[in-house]
Amino acid sequence: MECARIKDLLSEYIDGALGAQARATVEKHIAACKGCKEKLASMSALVEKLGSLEPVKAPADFLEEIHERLKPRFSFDRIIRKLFTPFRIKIPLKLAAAATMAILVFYVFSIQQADKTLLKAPVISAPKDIAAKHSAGLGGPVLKEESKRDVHIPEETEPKGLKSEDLMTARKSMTKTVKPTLRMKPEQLPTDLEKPSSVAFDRAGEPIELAVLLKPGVTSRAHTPYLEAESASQPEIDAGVGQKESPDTASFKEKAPAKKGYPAPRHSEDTLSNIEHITGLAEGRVLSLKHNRQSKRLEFIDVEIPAKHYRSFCQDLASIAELRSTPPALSDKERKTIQVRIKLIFPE
Amino acid sequence: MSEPIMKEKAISPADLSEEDTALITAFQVGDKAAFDKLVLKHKDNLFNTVYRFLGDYQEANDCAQETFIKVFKSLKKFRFESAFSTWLYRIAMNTCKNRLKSSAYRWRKRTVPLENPEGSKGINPHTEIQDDSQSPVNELEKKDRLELIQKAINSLPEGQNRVVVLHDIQGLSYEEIADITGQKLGTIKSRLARGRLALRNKLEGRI
Repeated sequence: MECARIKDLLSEYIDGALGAQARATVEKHIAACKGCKEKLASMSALVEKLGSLEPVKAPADFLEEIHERLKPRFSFDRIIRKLFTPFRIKIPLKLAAAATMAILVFYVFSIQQADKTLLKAPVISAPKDIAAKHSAGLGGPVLKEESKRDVHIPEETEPKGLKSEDLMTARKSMTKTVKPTLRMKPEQLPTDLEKPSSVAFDRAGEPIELAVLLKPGVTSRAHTPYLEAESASQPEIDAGVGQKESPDTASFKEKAPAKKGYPAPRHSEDTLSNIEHITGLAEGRVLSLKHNRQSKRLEFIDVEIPAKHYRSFCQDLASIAELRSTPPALSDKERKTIQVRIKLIFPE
Repeated sequence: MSEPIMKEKAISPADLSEEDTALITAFQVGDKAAFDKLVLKHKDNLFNTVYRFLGDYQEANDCAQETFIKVFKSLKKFRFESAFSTWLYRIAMNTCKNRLKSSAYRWRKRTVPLENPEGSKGINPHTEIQDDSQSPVNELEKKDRLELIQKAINSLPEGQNRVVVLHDIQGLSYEEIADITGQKLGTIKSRLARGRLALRNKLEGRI
C-alpha cells in the first residue's frame, strides 16, 4: 500500500518538485524498500537518458524552404510578373498584343458597319400597288404622286454646275446602295434574284431603283427631238403610266415596242438606246424619262418589265453600265410585271 | 539515497523573451528579416520537439515549416500576452496533433516507401548522431537504442507523449507545459509520472 503511494511520487521526487515533508517520506520509504529503490533508479536513468538524447537538427535549407512556401502561388501578381517581366523582353510582346487587339477591333467594327449598310439598302420610292394597277390598266394618280416626290430631289439641289450636281446625285446614290465601291459584273449577279437573298429585297409593289454609273464618253442627253421637246416643256417629269399618254411615251412605244427581237440601236454607246434595247429584249417597255432642269441631262429612266425577265434584264444592264448596287431580290413572287427606275450617274 | 535530478533547461523562454520581443516588434513594423532571425533562433529546438512527437524526419520537417508559416501569418497580431516560445510550441503542438489525425499521415504510416523499406521512421541519414567511440558495433548499438527509445516515446498516449517530450527532452517546466497545453499542473504531473513509468516498463533492461 505504501509502495503504490510512493510510486506516484517518484516522478516528482526525481524532478525535485516535492515538498519537504513528501520528500522525506519518499526517502524514508526508499531506504527500507528495495523494489521502490530499484524503480527510482531505473526511472532516474530513463529521465537522464531522455534528457541526454542528441537533439535532431533542422535541415540546412530549412529557412529557404519556408521562404519558398511563403511565396504566393498562382496569384494574379505572379501571373502578371511572368507575362510582363523582364521588360526588356516582354515589352515587344505587349506591343504585339496591343496591335493584334487593335486589328481585331477594327476588323469586327468594319464587318458590323457593312452589315448595317446591307440592311438599309435599297430605298425605293413609289406607291405599293403601282405595278398591279398598271398591269390592270388602272394607273392614274398613283404615279403622279410618285412623280412629284421624285421631282423634289433635283429641286432641292442647288444649281452649282454640272459637276457638283452630278456629285450630289452620286452621293445620294451611294447612301442608298449596299456597297458604293462594289463594281458588279454580270457574272457576279445573284444567281436567282427571284429567290430571297441575304443581300436585299425590293419593297413589294414599289419600283426597283437601280443606280448605274455610265461609262466615260457615253452621253445621256436627249438625242431625239421628242425628248428635247418634252424636256423643255415639262422639265420635272416626263410622263406617268396611266395618265393621258404624252407624245413622248407614244414615241417610245413606237420606237421601243415591248417585244423581244427589238432591233439593236445603231449607236452602241448611247445609254438610252442601250437601255431601250435591253428593255425590249426583256419584253418590257420604257415608261418615262426624267431630266435635270439645269443640266438637261437624263436622270431617271422608268421601265416596266415582266418579273420573270428581271434577272436577265439586270445582267444586260450590268453589261452596258456599272451597277452601283446589288439589284434587290424580288420579294413578291406572284407579281407579273415590275417597274424599274434606272438612275443614271455620270462619271466626273 | 539518490539525489533528485535537477535538470538543466535547454531553453529558458524567459531568458529569450527580450530578444524575441525586439525581433517581433521589428517584424510588426515591417522588418521581414526579423522573422528570419526568429526562425534561425528557434528552428532547431522546435524541430527536435516536433521530431520527437512524430518520430519521422520528413514529417517533422514539413510540420515544423508549417508551424513557422503559421507564425509568419499571425505574428503581426501577436500581443505579447505570453512568451513567444510558448506561443510557438502551442502552434507546433496543434499542428502536430492535426497531422497525427490526418488521414494522409495514417496512410503513410501503414505503407512502406520503396526507397526505405524499413519504414520512414527514424533519423535522417544526414542528421545521424555522431558516435565518439568510432566502433561500428557501438555505433549500431547506439542507433538501435535511440530507435528503441523513440519508438517507446511514440507508443505513449498523446497526452503522456507530449508531456514527456516537453519536460524530459526539451526541459520545459511544469508551468510552461501547462501554458502550452492549457492543462492544469496536476494533470501535467500525473501524465508525466504515468508516461515515465510506461517508458520504464517498455525499456527496462533494453537500454
